[in-house]
Amino acid sequence: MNPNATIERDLERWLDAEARGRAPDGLHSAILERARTVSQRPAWFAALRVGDFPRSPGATGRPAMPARLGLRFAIAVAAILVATGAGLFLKLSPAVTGGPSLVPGPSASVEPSGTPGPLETSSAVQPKPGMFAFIQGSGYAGQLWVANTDGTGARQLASDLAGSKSAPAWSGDGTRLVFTLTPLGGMGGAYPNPANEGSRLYLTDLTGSAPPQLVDTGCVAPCSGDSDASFSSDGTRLVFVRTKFLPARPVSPDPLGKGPWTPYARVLATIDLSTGRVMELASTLVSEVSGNFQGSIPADYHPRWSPDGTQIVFTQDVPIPASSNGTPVLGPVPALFVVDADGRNLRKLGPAAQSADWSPDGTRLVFDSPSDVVRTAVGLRQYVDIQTVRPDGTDLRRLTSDHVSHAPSWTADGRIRFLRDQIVADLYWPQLWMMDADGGNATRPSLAPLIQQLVHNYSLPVWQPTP
Amino acid sequence: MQRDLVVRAQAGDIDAFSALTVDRTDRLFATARLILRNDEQAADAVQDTFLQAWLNLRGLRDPERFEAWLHRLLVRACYSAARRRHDREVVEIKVASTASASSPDAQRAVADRDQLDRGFRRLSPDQRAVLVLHHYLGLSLVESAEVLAIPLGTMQSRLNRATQAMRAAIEADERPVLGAAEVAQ
Repeated sequence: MNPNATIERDLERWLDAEARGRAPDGLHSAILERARTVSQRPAWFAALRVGDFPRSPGATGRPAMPARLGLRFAIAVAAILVATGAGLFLKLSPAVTGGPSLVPGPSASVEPSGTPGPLETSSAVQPKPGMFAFIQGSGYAGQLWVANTDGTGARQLASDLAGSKSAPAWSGDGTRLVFTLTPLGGMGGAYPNPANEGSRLYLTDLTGSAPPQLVDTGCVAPCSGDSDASFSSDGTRLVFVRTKFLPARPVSPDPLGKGPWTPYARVLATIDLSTGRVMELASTLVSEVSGNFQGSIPADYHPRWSPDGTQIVFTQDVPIPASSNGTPVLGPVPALFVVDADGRNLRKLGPAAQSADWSPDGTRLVFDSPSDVVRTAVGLRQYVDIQTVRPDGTDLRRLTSDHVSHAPSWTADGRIRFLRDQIVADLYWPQLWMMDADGGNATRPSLAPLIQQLVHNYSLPVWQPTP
Repeated sequence: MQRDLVVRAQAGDIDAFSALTVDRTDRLFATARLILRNDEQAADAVQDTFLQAWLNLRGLRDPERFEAWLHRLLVRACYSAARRRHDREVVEIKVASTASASSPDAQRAVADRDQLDRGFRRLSPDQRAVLVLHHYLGLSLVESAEVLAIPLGTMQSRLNRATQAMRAAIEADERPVLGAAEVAQ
């Protein structure tokens, strides 16, 4: 080797020569095939798992900060939450019970799903009592379906409406569904985005005899879109999430030449379906300016009426306090809020939490809560467990301690349906489980293949209420 | 265009994700192959990288940073792959043809390449990653530090150590092997 040549120069030449060549044939298509079998993680969850990444210089929004500092801060916050919230209540509450064990039972075999095949459809099969609704396809091109609980009679609803459907929710009597429709566009055109541009609410029944009905919420500028609705238990009102733009703000300096920044905000709103009166619950308004949205896709609000129709529980991102040098850090994290139906008496409940649901008698809320963040060989892993609490924030009870249980919902008979992940080779394979309201008797029911496939893809069935 | 694709992919558009990744597959594969020195492991690392990218894309705050974020995932996937094969390390040795290297200069070039190859293989995967990010992908020290999620000063020292290790490996390769009699003396 020429002793006068620098190692760096020779190395660069050699690396360029060594790097020639192409990836194996079929590698990219194999990647896409794998990607189609799994659903994307929520923004806050993903940020914790693979780490934060600083914004590019000049990007609008909050300034960048070192990634590791953000991650450390998130870990510290999670630890504090555990220490001051769940952990403290664990010590104080005599009603805490153990959940499913960490070791999967014999029935919890790993069943990685393949690429979802086309659904078998039948318009001839009559609906049976106890159906479920679901979204098939990605969030970009989701289609609304219903099927019987045994997986038969799958039918697509609102197929004539162009656009992506999402967030289906049943009326209390199980005869109607409300869903969000987001228009699609070409490259650079309209598409589901953080500002929910063009999203609207639609109602449909199960017969398909009438076309889906647009819910006239009067969404005009600065309203950007309405989404994520649910019925009051008497079926007369909807609560939904309204996304709206705030006045544009100049960006200075503007090295990328993107011009003014138009931040968006979100606020809960209700509509009386008989009068059409829309009421924005101003106390719930948060925005990019207030630091509540830091990821591209904020946490799902998942608003739900209390059974008596007087209160609404929902999830909202909460900004983590600024670091010592004033820069915001990794976050925000989701938290539960309860507000009266008229927008008064807004209050935050307990620790970091999301996916809340009311018990049938309205005395408790079930939700999942990030309880800890641990560093593993493949990155950070977020622990998630299920808890319940009274609507006034008292009597917090931890139902699971396996760190992989989430997405709970109450059944009509007062049990809790939830997902429990098996982690295999760093991939999450969710399984549907049931347990009592106190966390006992956790079992994994046998499911129709269609439901199992949906669960594996994090496309949760939305169960029809049983009157 | 890239920003739109990233935002669409964050919303679950698999076609946008495909458009984002198809032109990057060869370059990521080449990068992984340099770090891992193993084609099969490199293909696995690229698959893992893109799968993790799809799963966690919504956690990327700034779509403009997709490229750098992807490099971070790739380096992590390479580290994981390197750990997995630690117990069954098999070194792939490419046999370069010397038939056409008839001139002294050409023969010396082949010898230099082999020497660099052997020296590079003696480095640890994280040392290789530092050199590949800086000397192959052409990332600045600041960009490399972001990809590796380490402070700039640490990146600087790692690069210096990796370069020194490469030089030491090559110098060791140039030293003649001592015979038993010489060792005895």
